[in-house]
Amino acid sequence: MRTALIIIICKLCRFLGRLLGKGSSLPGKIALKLDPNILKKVKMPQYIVAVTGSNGKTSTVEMIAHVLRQSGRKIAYNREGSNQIEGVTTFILNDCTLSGRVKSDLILLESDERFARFTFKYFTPTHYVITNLYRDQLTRNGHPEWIYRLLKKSITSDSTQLVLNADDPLVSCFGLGRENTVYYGAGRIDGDVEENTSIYNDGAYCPNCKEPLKYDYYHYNHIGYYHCESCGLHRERAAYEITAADLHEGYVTINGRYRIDLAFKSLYHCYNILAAFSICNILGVPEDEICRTLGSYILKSGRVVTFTAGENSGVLLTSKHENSVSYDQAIRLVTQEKKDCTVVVIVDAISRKYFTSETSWLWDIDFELLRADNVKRVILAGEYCYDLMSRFSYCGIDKDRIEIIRDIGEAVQAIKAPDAGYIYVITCFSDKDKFLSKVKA
Amino acid sequence: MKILFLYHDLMNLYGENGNVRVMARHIADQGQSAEVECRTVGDEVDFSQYAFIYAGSGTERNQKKALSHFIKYRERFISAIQGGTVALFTGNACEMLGKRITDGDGRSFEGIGLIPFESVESDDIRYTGDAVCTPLTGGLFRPVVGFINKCSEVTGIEEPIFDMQMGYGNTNKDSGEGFRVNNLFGTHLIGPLLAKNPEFAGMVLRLIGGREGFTVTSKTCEYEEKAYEITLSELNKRINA
Ligand SMILES: [Zn+2]
Repeated sequence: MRTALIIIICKLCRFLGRLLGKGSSLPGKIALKLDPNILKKVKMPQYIVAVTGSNGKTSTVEMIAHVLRQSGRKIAYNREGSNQIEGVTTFILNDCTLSGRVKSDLILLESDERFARFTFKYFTPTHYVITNLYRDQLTRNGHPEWIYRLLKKSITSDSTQLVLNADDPLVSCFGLGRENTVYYGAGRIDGDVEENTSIYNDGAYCPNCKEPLKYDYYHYNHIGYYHCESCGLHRERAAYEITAADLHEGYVTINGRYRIDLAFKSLYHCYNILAAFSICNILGVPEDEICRTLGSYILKSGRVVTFTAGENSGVLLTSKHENSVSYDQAIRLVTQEKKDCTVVVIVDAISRKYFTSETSWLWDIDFELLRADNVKRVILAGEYCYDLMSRFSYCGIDKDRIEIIRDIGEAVQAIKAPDAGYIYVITCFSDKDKFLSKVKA
Repeated sequence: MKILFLYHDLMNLYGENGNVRVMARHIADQGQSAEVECRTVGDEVDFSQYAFIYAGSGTERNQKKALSHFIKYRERFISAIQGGTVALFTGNACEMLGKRITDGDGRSFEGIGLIPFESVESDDIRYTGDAVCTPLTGGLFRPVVGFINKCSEVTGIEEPIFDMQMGYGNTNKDSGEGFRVNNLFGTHLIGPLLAKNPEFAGMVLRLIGGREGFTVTSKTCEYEEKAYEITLSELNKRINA
């Protein structure tokens, strides 16, 4: 069938789908049925930028889009989060002229780690940003090395420039034996530690040769400055480097000169900013301009929601269930701010997309950190509150300070108590509305 | 007494540190002292001195790394198990105990040969899913709950310890899962199995007590019991749906 006709059909389906409130994958699915090679027939723009990794890709993509738009580029990106091939097809065809040319100057894609290899059979990114590989949704993903192998299959062309987090040893392996790779990372900064004190260490062995990996220091988990004495894998020199980070003041400095104020004072977020800074500069946006645009930028996909419950105020820190690094991030924020507080942890539906009762991941989270003096009380809520409690019974937190309240509504009543202090709620996308609907957000 | 957490840094992929912590706590609750020792590749290991030996899941490559060390100790390990040492191998750690593992590229790795089964890994298929198992081995009466997360199929096990009501068995096609040799339990169930299944933990504890000369008295796992009940009822809803 003629390309123009398929484009029209796809646009029409998308239009009708939107009226009916349907998802964005069906129009692409139809287009692919009509011509499986439709994306090969489309004239792509000069740049196709893909972003993938376990954590932070949505935030990173949003910041990249913001900077590029502010600098006057016309970009198309899959903000609907439909990052499988059908959704990607929908949004690319929707941006096409009838002659089959993509109208935007640049396509920006948030790519799912497991499905990227199918998408990039049809076209090749010019730039491929890989943020990190953590233990994430292992019920579906297997483990980080399994995802590494799947992702590796999505890198099909030598012409693609990889933009890699140098501080994640597994991610840096994508650059082995390749030219045309740019690394970003953090230099020695406040808060680094020389020992890994997490419950597990995915950096214990070299991902390339499996001999012990040596670290000069860790930023967090297995993210840090490492080298392998056996095969020579090492933390690469970073073209874009965080040279200072002050999480109390709330700013980072990149390459010793470029300061960006943080709307969200977490080192994890600094890496997302750094990734966005790197790729935007590679694409020609001047450093000073990126700093101006990103300075204190509040993410629309923000994971932090403030609320009041009775007289008490608090913040919900959206973490991902089945993702210990994401939980650790929230827990560190609680201990770093040192306010007297009540911490509520909710595990009700483990995923919103599929059913599972799997709670093993709770044993990978550093809940021990909640022993901190400023944490006056812990409330465990949701269907899996007893799995949480059996995990918490090993944290060394005084049992009198822990309360189990399975019903989320009752947990909300409990945090309205006058002596509750500041409230931190740690939970996932799948459960956060069950809480937020019961307080003033 | 001493608990061995074998390959703690290579084979601890799904929160499996929990099994060691749970068993140390249970032993302490009986008024005994339990010390956890971590051993990994490069270390000398004397398997005869432990009351309980545990190993968990690793990536396929980490498992081969661990096996390259474990194989050097095969006689000493087998004689400890033949002598009745209590042990639990979860996830793909259990594959090391068989005759051979073939990886996704067709390469073959010799196992320690405690019992004669074979494991074949796939290059691109993972078998994952929640699990409910009817126990076929003595001392367990209630269903065991957990999760399977593997890329291998295991053939040659004649007496499995579980009959899967939900989830994958040793092979894709049959419902038999896991194995037992004396007081060693092997299963592809991953994660903190002993936290999720208080009855299983109790049985392992009684086996340890029998060998170390203490009688198990009080039950001390009220939260684990409640968590177990909830998980089992959620999974049963799926089975009956
Ligand atoms: Zn190496």
